[in-house]
Amino acid sequence: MTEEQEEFVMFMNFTVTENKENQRLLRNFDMDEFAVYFINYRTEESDAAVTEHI
Amino acid sequence: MKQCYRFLIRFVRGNVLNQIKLRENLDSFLKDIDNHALSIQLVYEIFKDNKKFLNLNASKILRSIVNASEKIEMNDNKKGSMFRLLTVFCRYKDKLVRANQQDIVVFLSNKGAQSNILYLFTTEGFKDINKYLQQQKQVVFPKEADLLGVDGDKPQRGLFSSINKQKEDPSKYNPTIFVTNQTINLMALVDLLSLCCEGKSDVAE
Repeated sequence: MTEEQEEFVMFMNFTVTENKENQRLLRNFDMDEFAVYFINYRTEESDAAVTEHI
Repeated sequence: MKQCYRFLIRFVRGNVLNQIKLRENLDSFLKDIDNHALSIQLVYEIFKDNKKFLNLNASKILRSIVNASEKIEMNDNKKGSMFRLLTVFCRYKDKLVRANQQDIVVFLSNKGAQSNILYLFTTEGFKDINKYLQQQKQVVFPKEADLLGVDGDKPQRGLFSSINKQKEDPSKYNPTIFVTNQTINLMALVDLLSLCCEGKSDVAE
């Protein structure tokens, strides 16, 4: 399956349940903060690249 | 980046405490929509079936999502994804959230003539809808040699024989149609508007 197809399928409104215990563990270890950090870092990097200041 | 988003989507799906934790970064995810379509899915999962988020300050977020969707071109399927995102605000489990339904209708229709999708439903826009539908490739039916009549006599053609055979083996006999992004976006908009009109709503009517 291509990435685009995978993304489209992810968005379909079917019932998917995740493992609650794993979600709790990952929350307690703040694993989400790593992912958010990378996302924010790349967002800021691409914002900085767009500026046209000399 | 995609892996980060995929992880966060699964991290937050169906988990209220994790939704609350990620809500603080909503602005970053909304800002990143241009770069990563998965951010739309993440915002969807943050709000899905979260009673507090669906009622608290949702109006401002809805306005920004509608405005962002207007800037996306018709040939980009992110537009349809944004409409699907808006549907999550209309429902809390099996109940409708009337305030959000009404807000979405108001914000969408406010754009009026400037909207690059709502105009398609006017007389002037009809020829463009027709053009999008004509751009679809024709439906491709399974090979005639594989099809037999229901009673085993001469092959039947087209849609009906395909439907009969589908019951036996859906994966082999489903007809194929290629849907363009414009049509996907239109279908998503119609789905959204029909959801906004569910229940009794004078504003939507």
